[in-house]
Amino acid sequence: MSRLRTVAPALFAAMIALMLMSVVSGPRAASAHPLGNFSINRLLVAELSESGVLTVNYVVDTAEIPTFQRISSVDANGDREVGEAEAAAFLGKDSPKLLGNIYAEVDGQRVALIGTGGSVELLEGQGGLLTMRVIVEATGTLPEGWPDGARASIRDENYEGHAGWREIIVRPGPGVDLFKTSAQTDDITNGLTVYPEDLLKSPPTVSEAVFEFRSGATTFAAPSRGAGTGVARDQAQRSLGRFASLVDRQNLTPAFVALALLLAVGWGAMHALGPGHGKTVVATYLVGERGNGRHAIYLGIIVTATHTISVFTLGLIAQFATDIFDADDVYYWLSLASGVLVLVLGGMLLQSRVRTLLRGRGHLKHSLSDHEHAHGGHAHEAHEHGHSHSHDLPARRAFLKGNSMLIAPPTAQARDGHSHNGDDGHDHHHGHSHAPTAPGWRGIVALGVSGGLVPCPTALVVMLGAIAVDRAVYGLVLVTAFSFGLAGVLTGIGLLLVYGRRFLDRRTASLTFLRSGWAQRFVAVSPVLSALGILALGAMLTGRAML
Amino acid sequence: MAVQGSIRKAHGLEGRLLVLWSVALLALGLSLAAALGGLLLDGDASAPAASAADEAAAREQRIAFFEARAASDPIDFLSLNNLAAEYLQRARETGDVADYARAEQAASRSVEIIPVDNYAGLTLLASVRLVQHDFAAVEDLAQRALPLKPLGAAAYGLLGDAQIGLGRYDEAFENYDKMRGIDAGLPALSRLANHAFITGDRFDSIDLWKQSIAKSQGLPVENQAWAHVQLGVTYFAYGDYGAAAKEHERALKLFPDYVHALAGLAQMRAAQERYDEAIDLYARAVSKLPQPQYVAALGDTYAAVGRDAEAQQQYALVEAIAALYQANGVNTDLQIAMFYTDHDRNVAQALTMAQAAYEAGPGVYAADALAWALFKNDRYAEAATMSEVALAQGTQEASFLYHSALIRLANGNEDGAREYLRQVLDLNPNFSPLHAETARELFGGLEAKR
Repeated sequence: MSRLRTVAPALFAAMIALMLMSVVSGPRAASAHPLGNFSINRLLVAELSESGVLTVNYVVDTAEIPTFQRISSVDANGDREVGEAEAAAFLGKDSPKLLGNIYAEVDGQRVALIGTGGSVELLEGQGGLLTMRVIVEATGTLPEGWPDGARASIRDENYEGHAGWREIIVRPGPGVDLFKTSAQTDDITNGLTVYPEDLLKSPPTVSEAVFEFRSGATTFAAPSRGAGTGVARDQAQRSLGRFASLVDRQNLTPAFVALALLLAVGWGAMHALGPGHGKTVVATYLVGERGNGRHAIYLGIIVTATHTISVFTLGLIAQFATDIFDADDVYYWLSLASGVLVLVLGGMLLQSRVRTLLRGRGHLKHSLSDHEHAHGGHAHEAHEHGHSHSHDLPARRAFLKGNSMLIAPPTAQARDGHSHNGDDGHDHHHGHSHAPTAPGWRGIVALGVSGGLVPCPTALVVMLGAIAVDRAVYGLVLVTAFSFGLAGVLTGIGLLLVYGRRFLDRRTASLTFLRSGWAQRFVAVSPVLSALGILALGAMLTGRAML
Repeated sequence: MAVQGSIRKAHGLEGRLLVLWSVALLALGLSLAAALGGLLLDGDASAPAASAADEAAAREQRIAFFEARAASDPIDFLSLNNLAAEYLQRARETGDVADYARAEQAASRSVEIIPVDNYAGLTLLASVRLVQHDFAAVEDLAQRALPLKPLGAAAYGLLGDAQIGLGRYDEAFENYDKMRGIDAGLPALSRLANHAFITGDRFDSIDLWKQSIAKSQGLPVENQAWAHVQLGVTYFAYGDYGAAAKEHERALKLFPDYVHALAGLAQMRAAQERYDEAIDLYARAVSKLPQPQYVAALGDTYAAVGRDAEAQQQYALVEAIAALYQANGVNTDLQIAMFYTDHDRNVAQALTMAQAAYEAGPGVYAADALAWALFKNDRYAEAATMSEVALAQGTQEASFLYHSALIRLANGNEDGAREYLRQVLDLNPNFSPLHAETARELFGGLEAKR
């Protein structure tokens, strides 16, 4: 397996005698610094004031070993303390060096940073060694004209390549509107004095920040620190942990089982709201392919069934056939299959779309009225249903904004207004109007299987736990409930999109500009783009599975 | 129904065209996916030109992805397994020891969640224990993993690694050989190469490293560089400094500023008595990652050119690192014991450390360190016994032979001492800036007496 192939040599590293250093054992022995006793930790806090001053507060927290290597520069007399004279000498020499490696630019102009003060102290570290804390303060003047809006960057080039916490924080003072920033605005380390204890959260390695600001009240919220921090995460942890604990409860009363089922549905739904689970593909497909409510519901049922079967099978494999399969390997192949399935679906859609498009072109050349006539009965329906071709832009803005995964595929078909009937069986009777209408059932099945194929580890753990305590049936029921909750969210999103799209169809039908020539042409290509979107998502899923 | 409709269509006139289309589109999609996968995936053959920096950036992305997954789902053991693997590789590349603590956390949490059917979790936890030199734990974990996947290579390798650490070389060979039967790649070949070196098989140790390098194509750049460094270290042990330097230079070309390659090249320059270059290279390695044996080697090189004050500074740094290891409850380290013994510092403490190391893992390196420490504590008879153990496998390590020579001399065996010194000077005359001169002088004196 590719993932493990990269590890295997790693296992061996230490074996070549004396090649690798000994290693601190265990989190209990972890040092106060996030990257151990070798680290040099850097924090740059920049503040923008209304009076046009950029204030920089730069903290360097040096761990034991690098402090030892540099101690003579700060403690010349070796008394393990920094005297006044020593501090002055050190700061006089080092703070210009440190500041010289900080590049602040506003609108392409470098802002000169002038030292205004600082401090250096030695603190007791581990093993009778010292650590060093250096703080350098400086100010610079913002170029005139910033109140109308300025683009700025700050780059820290000190100790490049040296391990350690690296972070830049940009804060607007009162009267300054920091409306765009890549940097954090809050300092969670309290000036590098307290580091988060969560080991499974790598420390930041940010050495450059870009931001834009102007005068006014702040309008921008800082970027989130991700799922790794905060109360919400703790709650999710506790909650999911409880799901796993449902299986080994001593007495299973009917009331408890009923409650457990309800909880399982809830947890499944909660899980589906997290990243993954093909929500984007479902959305793209249902909107792009003009699915209806029934499609969304069947999709949910197929996802539930596939996910339950998948979890149960994998649980059985893990229990009884481990010498043939490894859970990690099976997981890898399932992810791959799930991606390839979407890929194939996208490919099939694309080929039928391109074909339709090429035919449609031929007719457009004749004349628009010919074209309309050629559609026979369909044209009327299309009109009745309010020009389904006119809705794609607003629809995608309204529903798909904020979904970073999605390159929103435009959606409508010029000639497929009849899909609302929910009857998609009649298009092939008409000579050339092969425009795909509602999603084919093959598509829905492929999508549902793809969405449910990869088991949620949570559900898998519950299944394994249940088998381990000889409650396989109970586990199966719980997992079914969990899958049901998961699928419920997918279906819900599908329904929301299906009906939302129709609502918008009606609202936007009267917009005349959408009947212009370019809009028509765009509408003609849009089904191809939609198919391409699904193809791209399939490629992404496949690529990620290979990761 | 649409299904029937499309089936009918597919069987119609344009059936063949459709098939062509599908094939073309599927190919397009798959290559798209492969390209995407190649971007994110190191070690994939589709990305041979990847640089160390690109790989590191891709690794950071994967780590962030799996950290977020692990954070949102506390029992997602698969993400934890992936994280442990990534942390281990990142630790190799950056030398950041905190990543081993992270890997330990991830792997042990994964094994807590799924204690039995978790091959990857068990082998990853075993890898962490290996780095911590806890060989008994490695053996136990590998034994637990083996039956879960009899055709998996990793557990055999780890089992063999534990046995190497415990000095059970025959068993180790059997497991490495099984591993090679399953997958004759870098992981198996490099282990066999190391085994061949320990058991004194000069031809195989070189040849297997060359094979390892040939098989390292497509693996992370760091792994390729590492294999070159190991071949270089092996050439050095056999006294071929030019060939060794070339391997370290190749490693540096693959992985710029690779600490082990910098230090390896520095060692060659010192052996070639190009001390200024050696000092410069060691200093670069140490400023990137102050590993105690490289800091000590920098000190030794300073001492060789008479810059004693600077040498003492480096030695003090090694002691500081040793103090930190102790404060952190680190598994006693052979390197520190060897450093103390070599430099006549804390020799009593060195003996205690070497004894503990030998008890935890009675391999040849531990035996040699213990013999050397016993010698420095004037316990010559015990030292002689222990040095027999160190040499029992026929390991061609000049320092083993040098230590044995001095121990023989202390026991009044001048002929034996002369023979070992002759072997040292034949094998690797400049094996140490600290001891090579003494070895030559002693040998000259003993020859004159004959």
